[in-house]
Amino acid sequence: MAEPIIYIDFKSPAAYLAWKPTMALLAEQSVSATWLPVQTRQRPIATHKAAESKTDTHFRVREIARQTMHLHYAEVQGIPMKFREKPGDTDLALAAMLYAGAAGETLLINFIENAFRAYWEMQQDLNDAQQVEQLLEQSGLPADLFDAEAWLARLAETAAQALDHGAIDAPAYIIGEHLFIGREHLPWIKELLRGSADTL
Amino acid sequence: MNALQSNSPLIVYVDIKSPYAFVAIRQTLELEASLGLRFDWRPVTLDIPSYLGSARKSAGKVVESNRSASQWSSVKYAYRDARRYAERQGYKLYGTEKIWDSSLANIAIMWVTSRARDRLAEYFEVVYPKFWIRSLDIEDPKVITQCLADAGAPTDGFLDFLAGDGRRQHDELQSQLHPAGIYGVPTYVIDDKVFFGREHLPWIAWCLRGKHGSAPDIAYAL
Repeated sequence: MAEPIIYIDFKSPAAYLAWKPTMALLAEQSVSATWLPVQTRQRPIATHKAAESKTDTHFRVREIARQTMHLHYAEVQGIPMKFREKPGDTDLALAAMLYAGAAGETLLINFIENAFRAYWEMQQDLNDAQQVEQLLEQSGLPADLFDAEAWLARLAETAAQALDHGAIDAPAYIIGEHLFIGREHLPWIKELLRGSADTL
Repeated sequence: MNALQSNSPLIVYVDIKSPYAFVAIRQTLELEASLGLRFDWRPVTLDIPSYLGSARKSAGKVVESNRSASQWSSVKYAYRDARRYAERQGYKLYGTEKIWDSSLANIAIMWVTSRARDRLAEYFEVVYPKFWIRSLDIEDPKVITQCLADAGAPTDGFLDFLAGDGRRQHDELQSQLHPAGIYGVPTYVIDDKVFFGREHLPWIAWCLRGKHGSAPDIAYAL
């Protein structure tokens, strides 16, 4: 079975909540993954308007429910999670994630952990150059060698590849020919990683 | 009927035209049977065009659509995803060629729950698999009446219910859903808390079994 490719975005609450369970599964199965960034679209909760279309109501109700569920499972996992009124942009940190990935798995994992914590615990701006430099340094990566423009261009290429793979949201797991979006698929992913799915 | 209140410990909202509800039915029925409980099953007739745009296919080709590229990507992934889990349950699931009005088949859920509760699983088994292989016209009252008969449920008075009390109860319930935080199916309501999606069944089972041990994260059962 090919090494899984996992697409994440730091501003994706589902990706944040998937991080620990996914890392635990990879460790349990002694498997490495290729972690790549994807730019997801996160909707803020719209203000309730007196004259609301059915579409507006649906999206407002859905976003409230999703946020409630994310907070519920953050509590289940025992991890802090704070939503902000308007989701922040994370492009620069995602570009830095590619840079961290080029430096090796350990440094990449450090960076991802720190970036998730910065966004969801500390409400930091992950599109701010200074904040991202601090994150790189904190993760053991030389910030002065990070060429933001070049890595942002790589991010655009990676994002296009993600869409080609069908990774329309995060976390997206690609294992061989299988694409799964969401950590709810981890039981099936585990089965694939164990190699028993061929017997289905 | 209050959208969030019931005498049962769990309310389950489903729609016949939802592929995600289809793949949740068996696991939810199994949970119900294993606990020896009777869940309160209710219909949601989704207004899909209001949030996913609309489209119509003919002979496998899209002949009408107002969906954006991202809506198409979501719809295609949703069908692929539901299909693979349906196949694991031994079912087939083909994408529908239009957005159906499932209200008749959904009102029949209310009919069965009020007249022949012990036939509900059979009703689902008669309707869902056939609908998802495009072999059931769920907009035809005669077809739905036959489904009831095939499930061993009574049919006398059903057409009157469909046009009268059933329609009224159904429509009243639909108007309560958004204000109650219900926007899709399957939705589970436990202790006034709303959970959308079968990935919450581990949590729901954990609650109904007395909350012993660690609380589980979301997961799709295999």
